[in-house]
Amino acid sequence: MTAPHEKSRDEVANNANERTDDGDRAIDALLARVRAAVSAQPVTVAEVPSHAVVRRIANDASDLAGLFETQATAVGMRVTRVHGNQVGGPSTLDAEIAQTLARLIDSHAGTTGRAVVAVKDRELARIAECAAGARLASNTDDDLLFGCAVGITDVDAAIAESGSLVVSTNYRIRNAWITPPIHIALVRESQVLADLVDLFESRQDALDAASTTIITGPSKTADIEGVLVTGVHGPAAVEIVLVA
Amino acid sequence: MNELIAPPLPFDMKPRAREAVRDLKLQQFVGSATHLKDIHRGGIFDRDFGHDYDALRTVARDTKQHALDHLDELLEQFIANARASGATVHAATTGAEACEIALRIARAHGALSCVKSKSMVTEEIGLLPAFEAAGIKTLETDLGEFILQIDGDAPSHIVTPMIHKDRVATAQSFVRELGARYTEDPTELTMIAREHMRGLYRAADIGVSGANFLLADEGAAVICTNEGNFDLSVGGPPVHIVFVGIEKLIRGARDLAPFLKLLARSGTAQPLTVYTSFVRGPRRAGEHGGPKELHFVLVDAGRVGVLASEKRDLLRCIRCGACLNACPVYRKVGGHSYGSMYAGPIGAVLTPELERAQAGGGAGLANYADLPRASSLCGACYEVCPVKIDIPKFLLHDRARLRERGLSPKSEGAMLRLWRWLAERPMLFRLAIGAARLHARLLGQKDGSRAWLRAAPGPGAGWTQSRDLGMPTGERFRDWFATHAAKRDTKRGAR
Ligand code: SF4
Repeated sequence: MTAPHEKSRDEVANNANERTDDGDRAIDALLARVRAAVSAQPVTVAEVPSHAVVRRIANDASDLAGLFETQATAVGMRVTRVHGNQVGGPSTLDAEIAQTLARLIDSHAGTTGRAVVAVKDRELARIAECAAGARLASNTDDDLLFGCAVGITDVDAAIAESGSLVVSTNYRIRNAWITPPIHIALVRESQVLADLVDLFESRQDALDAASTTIITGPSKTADIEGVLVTGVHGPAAVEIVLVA
Repeated sequence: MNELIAPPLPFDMKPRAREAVRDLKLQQFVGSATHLKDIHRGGIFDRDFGHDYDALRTVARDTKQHALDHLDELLEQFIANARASGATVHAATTGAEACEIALRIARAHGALSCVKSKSMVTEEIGLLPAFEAAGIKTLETDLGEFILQIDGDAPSHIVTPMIHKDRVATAQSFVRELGARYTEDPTELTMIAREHMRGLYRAADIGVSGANFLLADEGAAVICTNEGNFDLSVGGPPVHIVFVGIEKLIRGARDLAPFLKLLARSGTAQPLTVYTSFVRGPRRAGEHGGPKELHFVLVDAGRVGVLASEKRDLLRCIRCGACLNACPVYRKVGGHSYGSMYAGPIGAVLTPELERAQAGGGAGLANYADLPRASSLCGACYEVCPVKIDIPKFLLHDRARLRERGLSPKSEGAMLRLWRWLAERPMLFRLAIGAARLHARLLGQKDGSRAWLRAAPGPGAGWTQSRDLGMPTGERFRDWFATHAAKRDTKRGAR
């Protein structure tokens, strides 16, 4: 892939300069035509209507974490809740997260499968790296991403109404949640928003990254005779560790 | 371009429809799949929005209409904000121009291979044939589109492109084209495709996609998929091009929620598509993965003309496919009968309109004279449309234009005149209906089930060329009315 790029770099620069004027002219022409077209018909809607009816879940709904668990399960993801007070379990919350992660990695990657950790939260990153242990992917080039059995990420937010995860490239390796066949997501209960509307109204920062993806289930297709198959391009399974 | 979706003009729908109606397999797949989808759509809206469903659609309708009414401002904002985040923005008046822009970008990078995620507008502008002609090997990564591609077939549904194909056809093409072992199991077939594509994602020189929405505030594009193929095609290659019709613009993420909630529920009865992906500029400093160059190609290809016309409403369409699933005509004739990548009710009004509004000006309706009549005007498309496009109104409008221009078939006028003449003469009307009932009985329909006349005599012959005529059977409406009126009167009397 590299050779043709190197060769054509000058060409790229030349082309880019040469085309800019033409490109600007084309954009100006489009804008002028759109302006004329817009005024050719009367404005029928003066104001954007209130979106109140779009919201299904109120912000003060009790037990958003519970609702998130139900909805995420309904779209085919698995949720494990971690409270830090498991009877006979490890004494701290961190230890319980680590134990849960280790169990999930074991079950999907065995002892030799590689796990890529793309976690922004420092605390959670440290725990995830420990849990991955010797299986932790040591560098992060694309080939390795394709070679990993498990991608572990945290999230920018989660949405109770649809059971969705919001993950951005902000301090996370892009597509660590898409490329490996299994995605493990670490979600803190405090990150769960009531409704999709809240993401766009009050968590604009989540959309600041070069790329943000709202994930609602494992990768799915029903193209062949309407039969549902998971794991077509993205992960076949999404495991959520919901931390109190 | 594939003749199935870009036929020679003027387009004659009838031979294709006739063939489709005789194709028992197609009848079975398309009929049952669309019916199920329609039921699931209704179910999820009932469950999640109940009585608010209609209000939600009104919000979506007005939000999108407002965007269209202010498209010039939104376009300016989008361009400024997309550039601010490092993307390059291009404008194309025609499909050919859009392809030319893409070829220029590809050439500048010496690109020889491309991964593409599903996009209707790239079908419209003929990007694939243009890339192939330039020696750029392009892979369709949406599973349905991939299977159609290796078969030289074309999409027949906006959301489920290979709705007309079965697992046997898929199994055979995988053996033939990929050298895979024969299996009819959908899971195994899907995994074969997955493995085939993994390496190609990593090696591709360029990525191409469409977009479901453009956000003016953020200068970003929103892409909805269920498979995750978009994220992989934008994540790997060093260059990505987003082709997008200008009508996809909305103010920003603040207006997005109603559309996302409606799109997935209307199309596939999901609360959201599995992946709703936002692309906002190329890879940033210190980031791992993502394209080093991101291009937006804003496509007109007739849209500006539609915006200026009394059919501006059509640009509200978010391509959810619900009107196709609900349409009794689409269910019978399938997508390829419409001679366009836009099939079904929305295709019937949009295809001629986009062609008319092309730069240079096409013949529009005259080229697609069958499309406005490919409807029973039952109104199902309007009822299910998440942005409330009154498709029947536009179909009627087009039929009137066809009549004015003398483009309606003679038989239609003759039949309607005959009907009117009869309806004005009660005695004769009753006699004619009596004769028809007798005829239906002779056809063997004694049980009151619906009988259909496939070839009517005399002036009716033209009418039954493209549709069957329902025959009166069972109880007569007059008798039914008389009985019920009597019953009602008795009830009232008793009270
Ligand atoms: S016209 Fe309405 S129902 Fe049909 S595809 Fe477009 S948005 Fe969906």
